[in-house]
Amino acid sequence: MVVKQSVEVAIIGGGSTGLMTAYYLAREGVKDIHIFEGRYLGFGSTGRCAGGVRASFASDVHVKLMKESISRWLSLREEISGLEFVQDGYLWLLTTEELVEVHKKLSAYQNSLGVPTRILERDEIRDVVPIELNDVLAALYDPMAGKASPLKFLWSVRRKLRELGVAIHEYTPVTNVRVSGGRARSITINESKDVEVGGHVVVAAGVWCKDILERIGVKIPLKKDPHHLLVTEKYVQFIKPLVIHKETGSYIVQHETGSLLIGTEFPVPEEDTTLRYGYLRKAVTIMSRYFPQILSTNLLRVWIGYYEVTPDHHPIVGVIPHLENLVVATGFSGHGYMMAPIIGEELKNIILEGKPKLPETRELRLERFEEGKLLKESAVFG
Amino acid sequence: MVKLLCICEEITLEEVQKVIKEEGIKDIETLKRRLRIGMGPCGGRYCINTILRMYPQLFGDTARGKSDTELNVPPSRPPLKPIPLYTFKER
Repeated sequence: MVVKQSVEVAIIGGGSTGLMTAYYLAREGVKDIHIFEGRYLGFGSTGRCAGGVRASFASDVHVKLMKESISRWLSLREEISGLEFVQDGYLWLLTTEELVEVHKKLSAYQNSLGVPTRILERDEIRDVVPIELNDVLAALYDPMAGKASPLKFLWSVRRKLRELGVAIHEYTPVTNVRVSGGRARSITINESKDVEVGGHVVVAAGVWCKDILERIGVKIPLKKDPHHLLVTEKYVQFIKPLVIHKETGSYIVQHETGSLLIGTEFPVPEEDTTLRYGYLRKAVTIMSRYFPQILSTNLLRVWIGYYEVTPDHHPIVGVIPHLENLVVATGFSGHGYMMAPIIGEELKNIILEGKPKLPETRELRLERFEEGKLLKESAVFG
Repeated sequence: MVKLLCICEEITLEEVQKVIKEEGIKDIETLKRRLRIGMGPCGGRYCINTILRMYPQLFGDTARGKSDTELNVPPSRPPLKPIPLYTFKER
């Protein structure tokens, strides 16, 4: 697609955040929306994530935003044909007395904010998932949480946006943003062509936001945190919730295709995306303790995707200071996909109303780092 | 006669042509994620090669002389062949 000389809204980044922003803008009747993606839609973190969606967090901001996001996920699956979201829950396996105590308090906190998590005693866990209990003492169950296949999300939203008249420019990297007089004036694509922007520029390029913004002297505290994920061949449906082994940060989720995705905490250096055998050993060894049947299934692929992490593990969303029409959304610290619906709608509000609707979104502004007002996990336990 | 383009995911040539036309798909990476072609046990060794052979018919453009990068051929991810998970279990 040939890009015009000037556009109204330019969205940099064809991941879940950019796509949702375009969707909510187009639904309000905004015309001339253009998404610029350096590779293909979902090349970044969206296409590499496990697709979990939950509101069971430990900070007010996360809980409240994610409750809103889940209600959007429920409407989106009605509004967008092919988009899948199932509320099959999350289950945290707790293997020490200390973890059980902390999660009892966490559950009470989440309940106070309207998230219906509950502690399952050891003998209740098998009602939710066919598990070898092993050393599991208890579990935290969140029936409100669920999963949404990222691949189905990508193609169904892509199809919907085309219907709504949004222009999607794939393989069109944005290499610069030109600013003057307190505004973003144009973006440079393919390192050569300038496209003027009449309205807003949205920077929703995941880890790559940092490079784009540094070019115009805006520093954001963002770190790349590479995470492995593996997928198996299709297996008979047997695990409904996303199951987390809290002690080791390992998880397993089975999507509608039957494939199992298994992740685990396996820290690697920021710029190192070499696939590690140690990750496979850890992920498989831990998860097969509880689900031994997975040992007979085949590993199909392993890959690495980035978390874009901020110092307080909360996202950065809002207008860049002193640049009235330049909006950023990044730093989701591993939760960008699940938050995309509410963040997309809030970016729409910022663009059309001048400010987000929810007080929690206002707390996500970039200035908090300079002012030293980092967001805290407001619920501290144990 | 049904012509299967992707055996693992049971995707027909007709389905491939339909989504390319109706959804304006112009590259193999997007096609892969749309229909799961190349995501099954063969790891793309059959279906992606078939797509490359049929590139002009499917995408209306020549593939001759172009590199894998120019054609957006999905990267080969390990393992080369499916391996049972028990291979990785610590004993």
